[in-house]
Amino acid sequence: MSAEILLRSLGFTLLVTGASFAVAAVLGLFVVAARRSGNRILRGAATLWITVMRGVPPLVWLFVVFFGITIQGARLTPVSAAIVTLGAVGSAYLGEAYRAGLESVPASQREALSALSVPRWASLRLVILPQALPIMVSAGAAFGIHLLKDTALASLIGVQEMTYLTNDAVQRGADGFVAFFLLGLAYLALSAPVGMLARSIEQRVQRNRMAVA
Amino acid sequence: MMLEDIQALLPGLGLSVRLMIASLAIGLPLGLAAGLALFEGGRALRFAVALFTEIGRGFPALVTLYLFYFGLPSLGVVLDAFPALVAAFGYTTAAYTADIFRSALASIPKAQREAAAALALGRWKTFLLVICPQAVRIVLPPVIGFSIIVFQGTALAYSIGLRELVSRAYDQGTLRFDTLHFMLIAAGMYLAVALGIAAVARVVQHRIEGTAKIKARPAPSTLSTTA
Repeated sequence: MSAEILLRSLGFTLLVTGASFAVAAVLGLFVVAARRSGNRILRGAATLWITVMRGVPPLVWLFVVFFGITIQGARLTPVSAAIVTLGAVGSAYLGEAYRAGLESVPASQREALSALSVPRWASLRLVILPQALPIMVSAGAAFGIHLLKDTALASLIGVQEMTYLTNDAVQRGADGFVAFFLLGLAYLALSAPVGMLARSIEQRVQRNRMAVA
Repeated sequence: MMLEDIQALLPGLGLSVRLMIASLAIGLPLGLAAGLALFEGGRALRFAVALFTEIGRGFPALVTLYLFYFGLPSLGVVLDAFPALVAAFGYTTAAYTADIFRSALASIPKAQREAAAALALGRWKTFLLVICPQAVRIVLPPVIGFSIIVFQGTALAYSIGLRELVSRAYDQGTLRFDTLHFMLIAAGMYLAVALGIAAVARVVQHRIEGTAKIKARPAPSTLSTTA
């Protein structure tokens, strides 16, 4: 197997992970905005979206999108179907991550800000977000690792990422145990830096908390 | 029409549920053993168990499944699809729940072990009569929650040819030229089971909190020294 093919499959894994993370990060903003809005219908719709996205296996959503959605009679390509699916499912997880961050800031601070008639956007940017961000980033990193592992599902609709390539090699006679074990280690190696980032942020937050107390 | 379509998928749902129950039946006792090893094992044992749990949690579930189904034969162990999936997800379950069990064991105050020892309870009796009943209350809600993840994971059985819910939906969809319709029915079934399990978890959590409150009430006893 040539290095070029290996790198190409790594590229597909990173592309699907990165692009669906970006989709989830943007859609997640709408989810959290609806979930925390004053409008009951919007809140209900957001809760429904979160429940339905998380309550069904991502593989089923992947098949719904890949086999079910056609644009002018044509299916999405496997790569775009994977990105759309994992991004949509991820918006539920990231939306909740944003919410956890926002709700970690005590309500009394919001009340104080509105009593001082600080504009909404300024209070969000200067007071709420700096406190909420570390929690959002650490939850987002955990989601990123989860997402990286879920991209293996894309192999089942024919995206030629790492799992597809390894499975292909094994079906053609490569040693199954060695190949899949190395594949698993590759996922671990890719997720290690993200995990370390999340841990260092958590530690920094904890130090700050102690400094405040 | 719709009812027939649902009925066509029911055997698949049954197999998915059986896969979940079998995986939990293997995985939870293993997870408890791993949690015990992490809690009070020697250094070498703790290290070995930590290595196994890191791998079980760090590999994508699909890769672990392939490792057991396509990988073990090259070590001379050939498993059918059902036992391979149950072994793979049993292992993953153990890897994820080990830490739940470990932290539950760690949360029980040391004084209770000391009191049990003072009452001359043996190691096993202490574990079964003192530690376990309390640990179960702590681990039950997260473990029930985790079983939803295991149930959703059984969808991967599609990839090794088991005729569970996703495979049935896929086959019916191909046969009748309407994959979307059958996949959405399958999605509804997964959602219903997930919501059902989540409701059970809430009831259990509620019960546990209820009994905890009753226990926490100060005993109206003449022995009370602070009165």
